[in-house]
Amino acid sequence: MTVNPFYHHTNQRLEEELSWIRRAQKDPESFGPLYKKYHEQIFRYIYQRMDDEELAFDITSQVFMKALNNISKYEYRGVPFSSWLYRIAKSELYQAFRDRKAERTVNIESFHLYEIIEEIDDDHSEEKKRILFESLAKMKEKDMQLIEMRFFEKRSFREIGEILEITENNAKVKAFRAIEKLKQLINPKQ
Amino acid sequence: MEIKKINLDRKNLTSTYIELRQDLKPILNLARNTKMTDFKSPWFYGAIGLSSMAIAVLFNNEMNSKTAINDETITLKKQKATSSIKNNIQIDRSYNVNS
Repeated sequence: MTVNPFYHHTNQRLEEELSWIRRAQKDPESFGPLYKKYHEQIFRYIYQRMDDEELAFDITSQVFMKALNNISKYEYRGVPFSSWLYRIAKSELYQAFRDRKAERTVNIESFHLYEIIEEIDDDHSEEKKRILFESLAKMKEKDMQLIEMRFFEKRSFREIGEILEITENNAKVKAFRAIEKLKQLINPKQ
Repeated sequence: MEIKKINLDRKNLTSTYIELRQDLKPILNLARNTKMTDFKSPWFYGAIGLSSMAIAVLFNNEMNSKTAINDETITLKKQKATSSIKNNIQIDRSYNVNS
């Protein structure tokens, strides 16, 4: 499976980003380059999990406001700034679900279904696709978020670990278990 | 948490459209305003903590001094009562002797 290259930065890009962070820590007005770089990624992460476009834009703004307010506390750990933003985004998003401002939605593209079928089954029929779609609807949210990040958003295990605040290995194990549960839902007799 | 809805092939938003919605100014303004009323700052909690401690100490002192005054009053009243009883007894005795 191919992995989204957005997350993986060269050392040079990480250093450039770090210099933007240091500048923003001294002067919030210098937050511009970080905002410009990550606005779309964070918006897409949020909008992927809900149905209300305007609310998704609002939550994205809230994420950047929180990041700006807390940037003095940010500690560089050798990973892109986005992992910190994703963690804020995750917390803001789930707060919106708890406050019932938004409803947890899963957005799937047809080609994602084919990719999952390829990973877990040999049968590529339309019927299998329908069963898979129905099985995904039955999954628990915590398993779904791993499938979403791994298969729909093509994130590496390292990035998934950073977002969920678990180790890379733990992310691997959890994603494997989620896939196993999905297999069980598709083929209950196995 | 429950998954409420699953969409298949929802219309994708273009990068250009998302970029058009970028606006850092209101975020900077909001962040500035939030900073001014930052209830989460250690200074805020420090000040609140210290003043509540001071109020607690003052209240405690006040209560102690009131109890001490009450105790003194009770002791004085007791002393007066005892001495008057003693006087009465003496008067009674002298009356008996005289009679």
